[in-house]
This record gives sequence, C-alpha cells and structure tokens, in this order.
Amino acid sequence: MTTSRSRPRPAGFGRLAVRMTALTALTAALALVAACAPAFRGPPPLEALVGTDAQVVLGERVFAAACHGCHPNALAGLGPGIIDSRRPNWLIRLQVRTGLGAMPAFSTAELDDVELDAVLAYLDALRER
Amino acid sequence: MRAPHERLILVPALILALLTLAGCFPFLPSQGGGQTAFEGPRTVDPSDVALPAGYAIEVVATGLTFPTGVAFDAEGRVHVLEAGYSYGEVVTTPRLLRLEDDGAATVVASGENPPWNGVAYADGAFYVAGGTLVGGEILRIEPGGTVTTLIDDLPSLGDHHTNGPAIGPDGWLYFGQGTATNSGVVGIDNAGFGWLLRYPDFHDVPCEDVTLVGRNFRSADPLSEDAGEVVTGAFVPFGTPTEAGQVIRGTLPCTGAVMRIRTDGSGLELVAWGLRNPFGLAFSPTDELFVTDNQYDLRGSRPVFGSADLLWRVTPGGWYGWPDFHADRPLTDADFFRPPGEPAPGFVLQVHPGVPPAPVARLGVHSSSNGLDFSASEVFGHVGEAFIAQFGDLAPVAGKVLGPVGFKVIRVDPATGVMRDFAVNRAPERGPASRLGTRGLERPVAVRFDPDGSALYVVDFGVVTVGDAPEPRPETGVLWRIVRRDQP
Ligand code: HEC
Repeated sequence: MTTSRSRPRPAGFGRLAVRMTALTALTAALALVAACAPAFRGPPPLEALVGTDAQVVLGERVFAAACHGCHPNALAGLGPGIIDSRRPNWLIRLQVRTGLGAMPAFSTAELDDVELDAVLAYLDALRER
Repeated sequence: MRAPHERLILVPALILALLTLAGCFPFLPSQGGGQTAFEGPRTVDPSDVALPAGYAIEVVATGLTFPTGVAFDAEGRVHVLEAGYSYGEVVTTPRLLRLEDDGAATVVASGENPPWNGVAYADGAFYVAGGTLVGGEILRIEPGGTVTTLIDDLPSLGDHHTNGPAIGPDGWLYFGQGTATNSGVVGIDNAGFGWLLRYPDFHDVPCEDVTLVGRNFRSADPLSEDAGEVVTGAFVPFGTPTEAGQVIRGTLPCTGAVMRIRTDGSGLELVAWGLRNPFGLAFSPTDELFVTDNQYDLRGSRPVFGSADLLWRVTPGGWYGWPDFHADRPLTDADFFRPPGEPAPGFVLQVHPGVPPAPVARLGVHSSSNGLDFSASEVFGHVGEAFIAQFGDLAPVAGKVLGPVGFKVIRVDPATGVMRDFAVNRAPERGPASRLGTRGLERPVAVRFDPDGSALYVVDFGVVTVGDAPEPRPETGVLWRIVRRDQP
C-alpha cells in the first residue's frame, strides 16, 4: 500500500482502487463467512451412489481414507461441511494441498493428482444426488 | 498521504488475510451432539430413524439404564446388559436382564463393580467384561444367575475399561483393555474423569518393555491443597518425572491391549497391544478378529488433534501405535496432530516396536465407534460387512467439533474401507434425537445380529448431554431391532 506515495496517478484512480479492493474484500469476506458457517440441511445419504463411474468409486475410497474422519460424509464433524456450499474446485484443491487453518496439508506423495481429481468428482456426485 | 477511507479498508483486509491463513476453526463454537438441553422422559418413534430402502426398525425395550450389550441364550431369548456406570461418574447397579415375551424384564444377575461394558453367550453361559471401581474383570454368568469371576484385577481403574468379550473360533475368550489415559501421561483430565482422586498412583502399563525418551509434562496438581504444579512422564504415576533411556517393564495384564483367556479363566495371553480403547471385538465370517479402537482426544497434558477412530483387523502379536502413532502416522507429524495453537505431541518412546499397519477404516474423529458385528446372512444382506454402533462425540470435553459426529449405525466394507450410514436420525441436520428434537436414536453403543442373522439389535445407551462434564440420564436407554422387509 505504498504505491500511492511513490507513483503519480491520474485523479480518481485512488477512489476506483479503493472501490475495487472493497468489492474483492467483500466477496472474499462473504465466501469466508459461508465457510465459517458449517450448516448443512438435507436428508441423510444412505444409499450407494447409483450409476457411478470408476472415478467416483475411486474418489469415495480416497475420501474415506483421507477426509471422512474430519468431514464425515463430507458434512461437518471435526472440520466444516464441504458439500453444503458450491466451492470452486480450485479452492478445494488449494485447501487440500496447502491445508489452510487447522487442516493438515496433503502433498502429492500423500494424495496424487489422480486421487485428488477423483475426490473432487466424488464430491460433485454427492452434491448432485 | 493516504486517504482516511483507504486506511479504513486496510483493517478489514488485514483481518481477512489473517482469517484466511489462520482459518475459521479457532473462532467457531463447538457443536457437539451432546451440547444440548434435555427434559425427560425420552420418547421413541421408529419413523424418526432413516434406513436404506427395504429395512425397518422397531422398538424392543425402553427405560433401560446405561445399556451396553445384547446377547442371546441357547433358546434365542434376548438378554440386555446394563452397565451400572456412565462417564459423568454416575453409579447405578450393573445388571444382566432377560427380556420376556410379555415385555417384562427379569434380572438374571447383578454386580457391584461397574461398568459392565459387554456381554457374549457361548456354550451355556454368558460372559461379561467390565469393571472400573475396583479393577477390571471377566465374569461368567449362568442362565440361573450364578456368577463366577474368571479373572480380576485387570488394569481398568482409569479412563478406559475392560471391554468385549468375544468368543473366538478357537474357543478362547478375547477381551479389550483400554488405556488409563488419553496418550500415556496422567494429568488433570484424569481428575475430571474421577479416578485420579480415587487411585492417585494408577497409570498405563505396557505389555512389553519400553524405553522412554524422558519427555515430561507440567500440570496443575489436583491432589494437593496448595495450587502447586507437578511434572509427570509417560507410563508412570501422576507427579513422577521420567528420564531419557528409562525402561518401563512390560507385564501381563497390560493396558491398551487385546488379551485372551480360556473360558475357565486360565491361560492369560497377549493378543495385540498399542491400542487405545479397543471397545468392540468381533470375529468376521472368515474368522478374523476385528476391533474398533477409540482414538486420541484433545485433552490433558499431551492432547492430540484430529485422530479418527479406527477399525482394525488384528493380527496376533501386532503393535498398533499407541501412544506415539495414530495408525501408520507418527504423532510427530505436526501438521496432522498439533492442536491449534499448541506444540505437536513429541514421541514418548525412544524405540517403537514397529510401524503400525494401515487400518481397515478411519471412522469419524470423536465418533466413539464402539460395538460391532458382521452380517453373515443373505436374509439380512451386506454379508461380510461390519456394522458399527457410533456412540457419538463427547464434545467439548474430548475436543471441539463443528458438527455432531456419530449417533448412528454405520456399515463398513472391510475390502475398501468405505463407510455408509445404515441407521441414522431422519432430520435435516445430524446428531442425537435430543439435540434434533426428534424421537429417534440417541447413542448407539453396541450392535449384534440374532442367532440366525436375520435381525440386527441396536443397543442405544440413552441420553448423555455434555456441559463441563458428561451428564448421563438414567432410564433413557433403548433396545432397537432392524429387520429386512423385502426379504429375498
Ligand atoms: C485432521 C482433520 C482433517 C482432515 C483429515 C481433512 N480436513 Fe479438511 N478441514 C479440516 C478443518 C479443521 C478445516 C477448517 C480449517 C480452518 O478453517 O481452520 C477444514 C477445511 C476444509 C475445506 C474448506 C471448507 C470451508 O468451508 O472452508 C475443504 C474444502 C476441505 N477441508 C476438504 C478436505 C478434503 C478434500 C480432505 C481429504 C483430502 C480433508 N479436507 C481432510 C480438517 C480436516
């Protein structure tokens, strides 16, 4: 935030920048508040996913071994629910690889890209059921 | 010069950046299933329990006090075990009850050393595992009510007790002995459980010799009048420090183990160790021993974060990781096990008996996955799958959760480790009926198929709310039965 002092700018840019920052901050804050409010409402998932493809089946196994403990059935448990809101896949990928906050990070040695893609496909299948 | 509104934006942006890095977890309140109010009496309604299509649930008995087990005699008559003790330090009378056809309950036997944690029937007698007030024991109870103690003085005075039993295909009686502590070190959390004040010298006992790192932990001293501090190591009494290289002799019986005896009480042997609280024991249709193991809590002098309850396939002679591993992952993996804002639990053992194997399944963290049984009947279906009763979390005492964990019966395919809900409350949210405001399941603690395998009995311990400590409610226990309606 030192640029305003070092570089001359046309009048009005400062206000625009502030407005842009405010907008980004607001969007991020909303996303975060959604993340901080783990409240899934829906019927319990009892049946196996029907007509599921091999990637989803793999995803279910990987999820069971790597994620279910803290996100049982991808709902809130120790950690927040992860199918209650439509989070973009890149954000889930980022969360898994970097383990932001209290969650552990999963390296590619721990969970390779094929397995992570399968988990994302499984989560999509859960959301669409 | 910065415009004032520009500075105004800076503050929330900074908070936001911090939140993104720190995550929301530390700022969210615990939402455990027991964190609710309850006004009795408990009422039940099977239609509040959801099951897969084709299955139906019904109520067999209500008004039980802390039931923990179900078994069937040679004539197939249903018997229920009442523990006589619950976390929260409520003591009643442990009893074995026979449920008569007219709905009445006959007391077969009662005891004085609760909790009676599990019951099995074989060759004309019931076998009961339990006891914490004066140590663990295995009892043989004749259908006429005669009680014989097969083995006693098991190291069961601590957090976790003598569990099981299961009669093996070899005719031996297998039982679990839980650990005295959360992760090897006696601390003020054990005063909260009640036992540290009763037995200030009690501690964990390894099954084989172990060599210590000499890691010691400072804690408040609930045993002394002045508000002093004490230093305690692993596998030693409260207030006893340990040294690097110190050897703790292994003995039998020990804590955190599965052991076995003959059904006359003789021949005590070690089966497996390095378990934490091996609560449920069952042999699969292919005669393999499976054990549910309640894993670490976020409490005491050596708290551990995020460790899923485990389902093990137990190999004789195996070591399963406690107190330095969670399954095949060392607790020194700080990213996984470090409680938010605290250091990672360092190793307490200098040398480990091995690296534990991968578990069959990783169940919910704090789910308290307890009794289990295998379907062996095409009539019921899911042959070879393990059905597991999940008592549900005791948050926030055992650690914070963002949503209730457990409070249902799940089924696990041992080949894949995939878990699916089988009997769970029908509601938009998850949790025990008392929290959801329904008349469904509270805390399933044991499951067992009837002798022909066509019906699954579910022992529901009843309501336990959790404030500063667990508050169990007598006379809220229920026995349920699940059958398949669309039988093949
Ligand atoms: C040891 C427990 C643990 C495991 C295992 C775990 N998570 Fe998490 N996860 C958490 C916690 C705790 C958070 C909240 C982080 C925070 O805000 O501090 C979280 C957050 C998330 C989020 C962000 C959700 C939100 O609303 O912000 C996603 C997505 C996620 N986890 C996915 C996964 C996936 C996929 C896996 C398996 C590869 C996984 N997690 C394994 C504990 C865990």
